[in-house]
Amino acid sequence: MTAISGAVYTAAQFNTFIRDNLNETLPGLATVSGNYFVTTGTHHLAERSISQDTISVQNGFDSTSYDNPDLAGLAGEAITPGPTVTLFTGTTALVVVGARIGGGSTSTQSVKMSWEVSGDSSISAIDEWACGCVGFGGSTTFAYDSRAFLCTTLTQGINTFTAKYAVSSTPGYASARSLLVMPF
Amino acid sequence: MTWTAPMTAVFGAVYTAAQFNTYVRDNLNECAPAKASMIGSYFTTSDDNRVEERKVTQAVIDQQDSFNSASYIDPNGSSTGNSPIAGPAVTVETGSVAFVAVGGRIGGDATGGDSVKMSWSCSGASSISATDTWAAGLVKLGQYSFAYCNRGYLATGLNPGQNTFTAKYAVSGGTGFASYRTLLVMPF
Repeated sequence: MTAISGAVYTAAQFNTFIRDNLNETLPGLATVSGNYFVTTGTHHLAERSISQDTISVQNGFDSTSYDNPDLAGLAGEAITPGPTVTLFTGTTALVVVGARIGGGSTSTQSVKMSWEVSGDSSISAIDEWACGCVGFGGSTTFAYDSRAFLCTTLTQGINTFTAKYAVSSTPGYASARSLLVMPF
Repeated sequence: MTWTAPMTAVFGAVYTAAQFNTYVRDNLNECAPAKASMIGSYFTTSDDNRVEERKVTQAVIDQQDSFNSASYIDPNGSSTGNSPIAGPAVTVETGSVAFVAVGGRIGGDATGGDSVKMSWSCSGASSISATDTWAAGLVKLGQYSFAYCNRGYLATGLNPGQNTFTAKYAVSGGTGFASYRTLLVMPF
């Protein structure tokens, strides 16, 4: 409202234009430490939380299509799928996967870590947002690397991001695995 | 100053100066425009009904330096003829969480069987040592092999306050090299 000299400023106007609008501001909406705000519509904000999952153990994988790890690590580590992050998103999220990844014994092959989305969205893992290495030349070569990608085709709601792995030929390996999601 | 849940006005009741100061003035001073002080910053939550201005910050060192320690250290040599330059390092005000990304042109170890890694440590309000868990680099690629690589990682468990993130370097043997080094911190 625009106040006018001499006009009565009513309780209802205060409640609508001051109280209710204050409750839509950032401090009015803030609930816990470490979150941030995004816009969800004209004059509307929402609190979001960045989240990360990590798996330190090494696992292997031998599928040419993206899949969960299906082999123990080189030291016999138990197979642990993921990392996986479930959170509320709008239609866009920054996703970062990273790991110590490689170990394919065929010198020209690729070893890759990507991610898929399930829940309110359904997006398959593909090379477009993968990290990894190609043609590193042997079973002892690895990269410490990550890949950041802005996913813009999400369906708003509860979405689960899960790391998936693939090779072009012989088994690859990944450890120090991380998957981070920053929803908007 | 803290946020106070806005009052509900009642028809016929006196709306006092004290109420205005508490529920309107003080609350407005807790809002983002009142706290905004820097171009290019953003706002995060620091508690229930409390927000803070944060700024993403990056430091860059182009010079190629070398390192020959199996534990994470500052560069201790340089093929340029200059003194090695520590870092990059970034000091920012953080909450308990920050996104940290290190990257560079990393490799060059003449011992073909060794790893060359760039990680980061945190000092100041927090104390976190550099580890392989959030490192960028490569393993066993040989003297003439480098990777332009990076690693993005969410640092959690920080003590809120002024935290300094500093790039650190390690090899498993021999001597490694890094140039075009970057360290970026986005605090929450």
